[in-house]
Amino acid sequence: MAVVLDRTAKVLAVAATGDYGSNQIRFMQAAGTHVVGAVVLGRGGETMLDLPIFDTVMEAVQATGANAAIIYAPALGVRSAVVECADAGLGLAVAAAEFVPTHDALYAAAHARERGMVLVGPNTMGMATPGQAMLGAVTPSFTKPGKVGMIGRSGTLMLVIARLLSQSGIGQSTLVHVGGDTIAGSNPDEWLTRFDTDADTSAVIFLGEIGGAKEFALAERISASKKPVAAMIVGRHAPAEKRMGHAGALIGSDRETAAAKQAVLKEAGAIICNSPAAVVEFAMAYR
Amino acid sequence: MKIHEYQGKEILRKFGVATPRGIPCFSVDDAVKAAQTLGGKVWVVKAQIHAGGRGKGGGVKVAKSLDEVKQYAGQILGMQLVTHQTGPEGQKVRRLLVEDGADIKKEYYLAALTDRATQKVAIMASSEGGMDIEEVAHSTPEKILKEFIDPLVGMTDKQAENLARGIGVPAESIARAVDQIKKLYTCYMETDASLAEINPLILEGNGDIKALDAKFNFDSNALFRHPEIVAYRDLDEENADEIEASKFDLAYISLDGNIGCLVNGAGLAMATMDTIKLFGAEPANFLDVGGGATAEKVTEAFKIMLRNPKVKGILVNIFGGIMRCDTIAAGVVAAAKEVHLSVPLVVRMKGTNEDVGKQILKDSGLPIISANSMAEAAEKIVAAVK
Repeated sequence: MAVVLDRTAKVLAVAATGDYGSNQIRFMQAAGTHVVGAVVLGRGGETMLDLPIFDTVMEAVQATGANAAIIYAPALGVRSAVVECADAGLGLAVAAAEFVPTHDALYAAAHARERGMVLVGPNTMGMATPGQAMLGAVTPSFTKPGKVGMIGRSGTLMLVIARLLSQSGIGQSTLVHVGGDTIAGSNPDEWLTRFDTDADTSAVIFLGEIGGAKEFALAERISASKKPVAAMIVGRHAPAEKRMGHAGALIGSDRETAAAKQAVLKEAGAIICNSPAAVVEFAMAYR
Repeated sequence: MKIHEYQGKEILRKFGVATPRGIPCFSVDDAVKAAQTLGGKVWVVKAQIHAGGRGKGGGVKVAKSLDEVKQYAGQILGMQLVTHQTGPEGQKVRRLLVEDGADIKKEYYLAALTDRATQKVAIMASSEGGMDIEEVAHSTPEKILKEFIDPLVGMTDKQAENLARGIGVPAESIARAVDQIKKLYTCYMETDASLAEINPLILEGNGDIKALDAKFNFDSNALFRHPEIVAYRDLDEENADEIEASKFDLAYISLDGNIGCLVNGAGLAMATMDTIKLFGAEPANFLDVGGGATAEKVTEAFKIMLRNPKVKGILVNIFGGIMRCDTIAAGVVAAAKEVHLSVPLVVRMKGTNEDVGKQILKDSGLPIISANSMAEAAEKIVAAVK
């Protein structure tokens, strides 16, 4: 069954151009992803790797029945690309670009939510359901089909741990990097809800970090979770960020430390892991 | 990107938020002339540095004569102003703002910021303005009101009114406060700000609402569409190493330890720092070379780390997914040669093309210590610097 993304996904590569776009599409195809076309304004009617190119997402959806997208638009084009995907009725979009203006991400995330489209990113390595499909840059050789779900706030760290799990014989149901920016299309608690109802997922690993308050909403969700959850929070020894004004503290920056997050996650019932090895040990029982 | 108070007030005025009249100054003579130009009998002489808490540190003075303006400007200009936000070394004052004295009847607090949890812009207001708002948040959180703005709708009159009434603005000034709050929200959105804080926002004797201070921070990812804000940048207020790092898209934060860290990915960088600490040492910096690291970027990263005289060893931790280990290895070798590296270097490299990468390191003839796991790498570098 997997979470949100599986082998039934018909994927559009939006704003995929040049060698970079072709390489990315091949990379995703090698992971089993069913890419049905590309969307590049002004290039409609041409082809790319034998795939049809369309001018708009709407035209592509009508012609191919696409239901998901990987967006390669550069930072300043992300807001309009996400809006276009949501308006065309897609169920899932991954926005890879980093350096997206925060206010653009705010609007894009709100619009996607209103239209019922799951948005991963911006600034994301993407997501994968090993053996079925991958959107983004989750290196297929580091993952393995299995039953442990992974939610990461850091892409590289998620890959590091996925590779360790795979080498230890522990496969993953779905892995998702929510995105490294202030605003993520979907927050970790929303992903936990999805993993919780997935019959193929036996346990969930969350890789969090200092800053923000995403872990607090997650903790509330963990209390109600039917599945075991392990959490590793990095930045435990990072000094408090040089602060700017007071408003950050007001909204809760004293809650943004690793210690505070670990405490609340533990209280909610999560197993706290302090090293990648501890994560592997946790997951071994649920493979 | 942060800016000065006087620049923040220029921006506020563009969006119709009222502020006292004021003139920025770079010398004592300028300050006296500014006071003469403004006229009146009372002036405020304010140190312009990016950090907050200036009043408590002696950086804000009320002058009741031109002689006092001269005296205070002389005291403040050039002083090393220490506040709770500058660190113990303080920040040198190079600019002043001379303003009209205000007729303060009541002080409020008003701020806008982007709240990650709700994914909305939060507008916050309090009746307890002019004081340490963090203290208010801790002891009497009920005195801080928040309205969360739906990005698809924008701020409604009702939301602004809730805040104005909630902080006790008198009936005859409610309409004026609503107007000012909505204008602050517009200003926040139009300038791609990440923080706009007015403390205090004041009620004047005549019922007007005015911003007596202005603290802004802007989203660095959106500066490309705001050249007028980029022009406000004051490099004297920023860390020289962090400026250098930003030129190469490197995320660098200087810390107090002696082990330089070069890592790809912010999460992995933090995990690496945690591991160093676990083995009893302290990282000298946080440095994320990002996803698209090139040999040039790695060389620059080495130079920046080594500019810190406290660095006694370097740990490189690279995980190659899309980025290949051989590219990074070539960069590390080129960098080590170019900077004539003289401190121990431990490299841990995993992922795509790691064998090729390791061979490049070995063939370089450089005394590079290699490690297989993050723990082993941390242990080796900690041992090497002791």
